[in-house]
Amino acid sequence: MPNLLNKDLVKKIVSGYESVFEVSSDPLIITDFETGEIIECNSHFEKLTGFKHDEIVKMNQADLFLYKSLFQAKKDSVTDFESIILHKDGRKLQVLVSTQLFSFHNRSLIMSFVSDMNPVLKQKEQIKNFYRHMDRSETDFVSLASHQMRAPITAINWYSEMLLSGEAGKLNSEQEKYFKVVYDSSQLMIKLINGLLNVSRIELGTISVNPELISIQKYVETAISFLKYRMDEKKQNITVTYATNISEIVADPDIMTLVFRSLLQNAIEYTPNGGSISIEILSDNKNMTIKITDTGYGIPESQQSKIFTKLFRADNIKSRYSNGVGLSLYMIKTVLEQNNGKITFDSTENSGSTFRVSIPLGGMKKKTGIRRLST
Amino acid sequence: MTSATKKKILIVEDEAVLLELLTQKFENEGFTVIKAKDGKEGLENSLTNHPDIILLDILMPRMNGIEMLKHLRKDKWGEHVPVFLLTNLSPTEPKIDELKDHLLEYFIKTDWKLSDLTRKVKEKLKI
Repeated sequence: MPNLLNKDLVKKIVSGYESVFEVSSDPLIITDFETGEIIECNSHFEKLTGFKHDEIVKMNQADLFLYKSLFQAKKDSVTDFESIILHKDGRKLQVLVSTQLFSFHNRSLIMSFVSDMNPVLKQKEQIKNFYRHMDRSETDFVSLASHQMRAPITAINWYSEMLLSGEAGKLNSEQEKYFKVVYDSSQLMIKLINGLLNVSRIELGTISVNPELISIQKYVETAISFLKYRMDEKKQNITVTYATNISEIVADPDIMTLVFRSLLQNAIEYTPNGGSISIEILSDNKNMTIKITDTGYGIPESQQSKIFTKLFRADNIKSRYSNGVGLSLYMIKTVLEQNNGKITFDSTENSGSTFRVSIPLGGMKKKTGIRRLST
Repeated sequence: MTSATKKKILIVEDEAVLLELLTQKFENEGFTVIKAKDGKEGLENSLTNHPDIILLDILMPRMNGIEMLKHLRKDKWGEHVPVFLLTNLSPTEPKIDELKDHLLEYFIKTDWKLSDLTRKVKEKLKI
């Protein structure tokens, strides 16, 4: 007994849902909810399974759906699930099923749209492969390009250093001045290349994130000692206040080094001689916040919206500090947002700026990648 | 004359300009400089001349610095010779991971002043 429903009833069902059968570009079947017998199918379902209509309507849904049955259909809502369906040639196809229960002449029936996931999976795999290839060729290219660019810059750098040291004969004051510019420019170029390499890695998402429990105080102190010479040169003073309710957080050491070092360096360079900088570590019940405040030049209001843009430098500091490349804030923002953190700021021109970095107390999550952030 | 006159340094570098520059610098400092423009030549020169220290680039034709180092470390003499990796690959590059077993010092050319590099070499050789 292939079907409990008589032919007339089947005809009525099909005619009642004729438009659905006709317009549906997806394979479609109707099944008896009580018994699982397949009552009707459209030509797309025939194509999907390789079975003929007459063979299908003699089957039970369990003959075709090898994983998860259609019985999970509900009356008032569509249920979607993935399943595996048997093809006539023995292949097992991964399918997506959208199914709903409905009543027809006192019978409970299941209408199911079945989409073949293989083309989707294939497409997804192709997209993945494409990006994998892109990632690889992009990073290889950037890495190679950066290596290639560094070689001539090293030559400029080291030859100007030799010339400035008088190893190739004493320079007159004008020659010395010009070679100093050559030397400083090569340093800036190196900074730019390193920054672009990092940006490329961050944007491609190829950076690995390896969180560990880190001491916040240690990172603050390391950043300060790294830049102390510059604060001394500019006769700036710094104050640090630590939170009493937090001393450690799970975070990636390279990201934390980038955050502390870059924000402190910005504060130093964009604050005039004799200015003040403060670092505050705060914590509420959700986030740890690093607050870095300076009494510096500030950011003009009209340019504040661009401050996190790649290679952007505000007009009021271009002439005051020519060694910036306009990448650190963009990098910090991007890398923090990729790791559930965020950065905000407020600033008043000629008065100073405050940058706030928040990291969830839950810490950063591990992420596998092929590169580390270069700090 | 410093005691560096007795010290031999092998510089393995495929960039002709840098090879020339480093040669000039270390000769100025009183070293005997042996030059090699790739890893193959560097390996041959190492095993023949037994330098006191090697400055080794990584990305080079014919034989790269990593391969050269692996061969060198298999040799009884080469096992212990100090090697300074002098490269523009960053230490975060996957290639560098291959070298972690070969205790050596690592210098990114663009991050170092030539005078500091020279000082490091001298310190290593206790000059």
